[in-house]
Amino acid sequence: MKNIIAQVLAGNTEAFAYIVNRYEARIYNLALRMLRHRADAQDATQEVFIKVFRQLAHYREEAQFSTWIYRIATNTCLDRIRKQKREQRQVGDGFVFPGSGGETPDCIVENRQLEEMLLEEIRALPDKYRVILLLYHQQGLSYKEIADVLNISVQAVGTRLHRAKALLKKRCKWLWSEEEAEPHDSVCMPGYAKKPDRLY
Amino acid sequence: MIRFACRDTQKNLTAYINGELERPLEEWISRHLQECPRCQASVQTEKRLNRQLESALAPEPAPEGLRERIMASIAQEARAGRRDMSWGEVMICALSLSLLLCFAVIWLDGPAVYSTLAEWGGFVSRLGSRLSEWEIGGGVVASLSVQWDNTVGTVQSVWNQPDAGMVFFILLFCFIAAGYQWLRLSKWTT
Ligand SMILES: [Zn+2]
Repeated sequence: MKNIIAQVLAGNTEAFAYIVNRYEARIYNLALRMLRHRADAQDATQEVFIKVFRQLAHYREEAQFSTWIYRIATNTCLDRIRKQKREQRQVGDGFVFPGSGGETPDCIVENRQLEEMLLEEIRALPDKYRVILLLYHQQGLSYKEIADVLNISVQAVGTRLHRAKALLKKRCKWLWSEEEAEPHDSVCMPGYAKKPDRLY
Repeated sequence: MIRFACRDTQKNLTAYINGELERPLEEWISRHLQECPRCQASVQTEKRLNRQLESALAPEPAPEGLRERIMASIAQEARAGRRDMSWGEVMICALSLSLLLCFAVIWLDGPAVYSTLAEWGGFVSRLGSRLSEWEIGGGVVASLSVQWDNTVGTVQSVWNQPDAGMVFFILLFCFIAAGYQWLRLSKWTT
């Protein structure tokens, strides 16, 4: 990596392709789950790499390169979310999730649909919880690495991840019932009703 | 007693399953789990959630063409070509520039510098008297030239102070560093 960075700094733009190849999918997937739309995630990914290119000279080797790039990525996503929220406030009323009108799903629910519901719940988490959940469960970073990326203590990572999952468990009771050994992947859930509409 | 144990177990359950706990606490929780079916159930729930999360968050391949789009924008960046100088580099540039200018001034010799300034003042006042002959705004120019002389006088007296060279150097340094930042913000980054 050191070598690659040196080459890019010396003016070999092609060497940057190595960095893009290595991190493109990871950053895209992180952005995809942080932001709402695919187009947004693509734009954010592009923005992250432009920032990486611009700031490469500032990269100091005390930090791991992956930590550094994840820091840029999370900041970029959080900035975008903040901007979107500001714009939404200016427009007026918030955006209501499509299809969360309290309807009861059919008895046979596809796995994929359940996943979509879980994803909706993840999207509804507070940003600072969601980012940690993604860094841990999607990107496979350790508590220590997440702490370095977000510049918080390892303790805080543990607490927030725990809270994030407590929230998910509370909101996703409809995914399975506590008593059952197996999740309700394709079983009818009597009395199921989705939570009330939420503003995002 | 048992309730306290359950509460502590629940609090640390995520970290326990993620293998992020210190040894003693981890062992303590393992022991508690063996005798507490409720906490065991919570472990199962947590593990189930982890499996669900894993499949819901499974990474997808980056969309077709994204890489090309990124590399195109990078090539454009590179063509635009101006890599920002780091703070250290700015400082070194400003330092060497101001040193250079200071030496130039010392080499030129202070008095020579302000006598040049005074000559410019003389030019202004000559211009003023010529203009006043022609009766076009001569008064303004004349008063300007008086101000100029005053300024040069002030410069002269400051220059004769001890440490004036140091002050001059520091001012120059700040001016160059600030000037660079201003240029960078106003022009290069859009
Ligand atoms: Zn217990």
